[in-house]
Amino acid sequence: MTPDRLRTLLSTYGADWRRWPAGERDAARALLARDAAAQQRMLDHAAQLDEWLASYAVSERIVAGASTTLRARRERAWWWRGAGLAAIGLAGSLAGAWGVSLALHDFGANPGDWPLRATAFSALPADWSDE
Amino acid sequence: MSGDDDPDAQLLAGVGRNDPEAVRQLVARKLPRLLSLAQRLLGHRGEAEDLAQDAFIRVWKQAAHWQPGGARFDTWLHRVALNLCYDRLRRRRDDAPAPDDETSDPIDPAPTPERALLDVQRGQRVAAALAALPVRQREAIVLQYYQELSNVEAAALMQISVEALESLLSRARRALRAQLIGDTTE
Repeated sequence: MTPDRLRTLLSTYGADWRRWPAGERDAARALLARDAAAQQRMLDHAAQLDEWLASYAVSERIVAGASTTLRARRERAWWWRGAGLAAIGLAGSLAGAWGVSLALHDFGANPGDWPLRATAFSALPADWSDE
Repeated sequence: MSGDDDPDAQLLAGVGRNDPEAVRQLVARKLPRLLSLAQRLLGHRGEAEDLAQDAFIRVWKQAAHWQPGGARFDTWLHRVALNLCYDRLRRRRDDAPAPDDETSDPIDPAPTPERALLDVQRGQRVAAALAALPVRQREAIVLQYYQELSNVEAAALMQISVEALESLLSRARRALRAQLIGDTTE
């Protein structure tokens, strides 16, 4: 670490060593400790701007407001998704009921030809003894 | 850093399962950072809130498909937010970047009215100085100073080298110093 590089760190990353590149922190701090008086002016200089930058905070009130809006929007989305699923479920039920009604529906077959509870196999002879 | 030690991975898995508590915690953890990034890059509170919402919509869509082991979630979220910022900045490229009324209260209430007023005034001056910076310089200072990303992370997000990032940071700080303190030395 050279005094030039330390100066670059201060003018680039500010006075707080925690913002400096991890690999250079220890060496830079050691140099500062060895030569504090010489580096103090640069340090103060960088800290002055840091203090200004820190004054531009994002309000907790803004965060809270945005959080409320976000929650409401997500809950609305979930409501619509739930309503969509319910609608799909209802549509499925209706389709099922319609299908069952079709299956049970008597399509005008002649009761004489199709005895009660007859199936497609009803016409087969029950007694196969003559075959 | 890889996603293996991603501090958000577990929370994200919960969001993917539609766990309301995980959603609440993720919003609490990430919303301030998103607003911080967006407000300082866009200089507009309302737009920052809209952007945060758009970013979270992408999170909800992505959460169930998130693959641990890749990029860290926070890095991915910054990338999403930066792209949304770029879109908005592009749309208003020809407009003057002057802060409007909605940037007038970015500071938390302080104990005394005098102190609050001073903080608000200082915050407004910093907001105006940031808004006056070229976009890439502003982006560099927001990522490195306000978002507290490492130089490597910030450079990767901006798709530039660490040396180029340092150059942007140095010029940004010099310009901010000139604007805020009236001092052109660094």
